[in-house]
Amino acid sequence: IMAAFLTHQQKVLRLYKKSLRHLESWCIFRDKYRFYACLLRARFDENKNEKDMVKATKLLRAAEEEFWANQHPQPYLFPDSPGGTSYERYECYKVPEWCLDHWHPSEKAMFPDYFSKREQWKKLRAQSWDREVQQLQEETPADGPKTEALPPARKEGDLPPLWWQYVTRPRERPM
Amino acid sequence: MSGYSADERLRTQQLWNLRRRWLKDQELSPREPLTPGAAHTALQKGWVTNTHTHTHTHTHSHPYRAGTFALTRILIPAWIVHYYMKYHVAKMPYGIVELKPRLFPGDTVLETGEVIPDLPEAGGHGHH
Repeated sequence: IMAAFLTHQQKVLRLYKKSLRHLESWCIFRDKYRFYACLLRARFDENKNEKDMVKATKLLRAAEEEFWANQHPQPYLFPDSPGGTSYERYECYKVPEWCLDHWHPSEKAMFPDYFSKREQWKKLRAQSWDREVQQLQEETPADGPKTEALPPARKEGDLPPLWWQYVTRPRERPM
Repeated sequence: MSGYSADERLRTQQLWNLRRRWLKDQELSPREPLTPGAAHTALQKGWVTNTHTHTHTHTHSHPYRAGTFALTRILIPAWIVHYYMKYHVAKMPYGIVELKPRLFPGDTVLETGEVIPDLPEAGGHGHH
């Protein structure tokens, strides 16, 4: 779950990873990359235990500026990452599960076992919905939720709130 | 400090179990798809299977299978048999010639027994 604001720790870790990736793009030979990656790691580890947040923020800012000055002009992009050539390539083939509700009854009759199992799942969803909402209402403080993470199912027989979308999502690579 | 909390791990595990069950239920049972009425011939069965189970791979299409059958079961064995018959079984070679022997008038063709006639008389037209 993507948070709206990053903590200092998240910012540092992302900067570290991004720097490693750019270093990888700079270095052609792997051994050289490993050498400079160790140096980079040592530099990050130097101020690992900095307790003074003002100083830590200043360090982070200096590091960001150094990264900006030394960044690679054309860093390696993974093909399925944002900006890559096959990013979201298979999105257009994903069909949401509710499309099956629009099948003609004569078509559904050809898959009786499958659709009976599907009816069971839909019944499960309808049954658990009220309890999911109830659990969310009980666990949310009066002044709004403190975290974006959804809670797990606490009671026996309950299902984790808002499970349907996660469980019935299409495959990563539709067949 | 770092990593997921126990609640988040528990939720992930619960969702994972549900997802496993859901994917398991996506598999069709062996009798599906049920086709109404008659799909008697193999061709019709193949057609129905192809159009309704979402396994549109070219390896299951009719022209591909027919082509594969023709090539591997008919053409290539016929080739091998023909080669064996021609070069190993046949006692009298026919059409296998390293160097054709020169034939002159009066010679006899071995296969047919035909005798090569004399050259025709040169015409008296003044050509050479």
